[in-house]
Amino acid sequence: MKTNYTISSIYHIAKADFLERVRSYYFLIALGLCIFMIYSFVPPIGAGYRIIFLGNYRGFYNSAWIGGMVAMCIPFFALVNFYVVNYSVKRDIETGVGQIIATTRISGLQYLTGKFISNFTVLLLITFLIAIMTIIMFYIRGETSHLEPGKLLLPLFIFLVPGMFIISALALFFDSITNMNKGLANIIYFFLWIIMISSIMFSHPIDIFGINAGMNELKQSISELCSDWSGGYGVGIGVGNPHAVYKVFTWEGMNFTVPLILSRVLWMGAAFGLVLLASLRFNRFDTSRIKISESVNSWISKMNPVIPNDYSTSSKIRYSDLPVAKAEFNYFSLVAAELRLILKGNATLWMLITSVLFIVSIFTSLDFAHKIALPLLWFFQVLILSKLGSREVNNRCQEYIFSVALPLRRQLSATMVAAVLLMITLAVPVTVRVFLTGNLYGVYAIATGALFIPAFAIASGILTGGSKLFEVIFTIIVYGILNSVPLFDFIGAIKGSRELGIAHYLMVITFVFVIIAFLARKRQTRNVL
Amino acid sequence: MEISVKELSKKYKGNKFGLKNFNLELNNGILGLIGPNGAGKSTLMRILATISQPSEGHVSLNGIDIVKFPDTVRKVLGYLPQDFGVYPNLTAIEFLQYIAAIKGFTGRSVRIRIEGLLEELNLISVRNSPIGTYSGGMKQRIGIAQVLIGDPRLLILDEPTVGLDPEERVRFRNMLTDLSGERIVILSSHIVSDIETIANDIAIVYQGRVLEHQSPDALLKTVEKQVYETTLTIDEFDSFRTKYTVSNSMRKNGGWLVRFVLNSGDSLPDIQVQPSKGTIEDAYLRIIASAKNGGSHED
Repeated sequence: MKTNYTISSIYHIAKADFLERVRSYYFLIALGLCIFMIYSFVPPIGAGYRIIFLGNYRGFYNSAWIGGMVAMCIPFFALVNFYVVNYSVKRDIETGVGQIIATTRISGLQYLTGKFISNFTVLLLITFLIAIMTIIMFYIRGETSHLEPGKLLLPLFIFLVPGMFIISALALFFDSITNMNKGLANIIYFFLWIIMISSIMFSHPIDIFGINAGMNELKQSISELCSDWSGGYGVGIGVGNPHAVYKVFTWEGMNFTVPLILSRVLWMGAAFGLVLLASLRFNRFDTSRIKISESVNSWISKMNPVIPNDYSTSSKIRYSDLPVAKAEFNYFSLVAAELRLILKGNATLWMLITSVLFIVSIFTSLDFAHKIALPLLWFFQVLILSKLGSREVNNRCQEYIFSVALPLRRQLSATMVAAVLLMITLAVPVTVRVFLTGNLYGVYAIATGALFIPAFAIASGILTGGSKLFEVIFTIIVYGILNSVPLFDFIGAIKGSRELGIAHYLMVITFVFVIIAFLARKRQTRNVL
Repeated sequence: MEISVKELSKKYKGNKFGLKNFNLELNNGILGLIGPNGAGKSTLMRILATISQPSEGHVSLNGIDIVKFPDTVRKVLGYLPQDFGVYPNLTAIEFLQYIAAIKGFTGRSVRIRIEGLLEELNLISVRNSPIGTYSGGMKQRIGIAQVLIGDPRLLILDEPTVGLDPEERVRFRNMLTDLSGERIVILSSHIVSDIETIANDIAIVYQGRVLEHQSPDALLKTVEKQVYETTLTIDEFDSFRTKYTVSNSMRKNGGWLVRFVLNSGDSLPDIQVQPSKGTIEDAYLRIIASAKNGGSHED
């Protein structure tokens, strides 16, 4: 009887969560991103970039190579798909469903297992789509029409499925820390992910996704078959010379040894250990503990405990005695109010990191300040910026805020101006230093970036009603900059981006985002609910 | 000021109507909207507040079409939605200053008015605390304060007394009656007593239509000699309430003291009954019961 209840409750938790997710816009966005990624990760021969580096060689586009290439891109899928499944427990807190669940007989472990199964099922569905897309890519990019399904799809099964399992567990682990702000969890995961990526470069023995094992296989094959291999290998987005000629190496696929498969199983076991660990410290939606931790995030709330109703005083004022406010619209006052709204209530950690990076951008070498400190400084505003477009809806203020006069011209534009002012203020040290070197393109590019990021954040927030889309894409863009990818250079610091005219394109894209934001908000203000 | 609502319909997906051929004429004063859940009260209020658009029909303020020219309403509007939130990290003063700024009110006069409103709404002692730390009733009062910042000529208040404790409800009712002059106040509530004491007019809404739009006195007349009381045993009560509209019941001496309303077509039960004075709630129940039976509530 108890077993039936356990299985049934886990099944229904998983089913409800799964349905909720696959019916959300984010799921569609994630699918779209995955399709785009696979399309990009199997680049056409002669494209200006490579995903798998093999020195002076490139792989012959057969089943084994295309399957291996997609499988080796698991870290990139790990980045995007974490954000697809990372908000499950916290959603139950926000909707109040958690408190209903907490009053049932279901245990913390059963609840989290249900959530974990849902996470994994969602990611398996995405993996299935990746597999289909890989077959399609074989026919689009393949240099042979001889499809070998085993060689094409087995690497996906051996690498992607355990990888998705690990991501499901990691996401749930972060999610179950109900005291942690969900945006902060996203940032922490991003840095954890960078560490994981870095471990590939240094062939670190901690091989969570099995990439080192896979790349070692590849390295061994090429060194045996190609005596003139120049050495050097890796996975990542690398821009090269489109006209460069590489020698072709025909790979017959990976040798899936027992140790390799066993290591995948062990990592899956370790990942499930995270679920068990999460269940031990899961607080069953104890609102008192959640509230306390929320206030810890905000320095202003920390100083003010929850206030009970106060009957000690009774008002003697009558409405008719109140002075009438003078109708006098002042745009600067509104921008100042918007700035206050943007800056208030942010975590102490945010203030600290922003201050440190701001100082770093003044006192470090210009190259470091421009290429590293400024992107990171702006990146640390991601949680502030990502809320801007959806703030009214998420705080349930939209009905009375959208019913004020001229909501687009006044409120929306003031939000944009305030966000741009924040970005510009943070970039002042680097901008002045770049200007003093006479690099006017750099100044123009930074200004473009300061306009582009808020416009993108607000437009995506209004369109999606949430913050995730901007958070994920902005994270990827910043990762691109930190890896010197000119295509992502919104600050004019990467060699080659000026020649590509990235800042000009960004200016046009910014303009498009502003138009989208205004049109979408206009529609929103006339169709609440 | 006058608002005219003509043949207004709001159609949702699946051919469901929030409002259907809704008609209403309003002049200065307080209109109370009452009706069951899903009757269309909030839909009407959202359309009047210009944040939702009708599928058909016309709504005008002083003869100007508010669907085409929403800013006509927005300039004079104070709107309190049924379910709303606040920015939790702002203090009451900061939040109200923000709302004032987007409504186009700045300067010293606004600061003084905000202080006064907080005083009147009994929030002055917590004005510098973040709203996120407030109780539910206090947040509701912040919502009421944001409505009144610009001394609006048109107030739309959707369930304004939800979350207020009895003392605050009384205070709020007194405040509304204090709102005098050239303005229209439209408020909805499930609590009939919140409306009957302050509204000049009451509109009973059901299934997207107005069933009645009358003064409280006129509504009371519809239940004259239609309300009775009787005492029943527990067994009698079970069968009685399937035949009559019971507006109130309370346990008394091992049985039930039952208050009931006669609907059109009902005859008095063959038991001892005493006539009772009708209330707006009796009138409301009688009109809704009649509409549910598909008939007219008029005798």
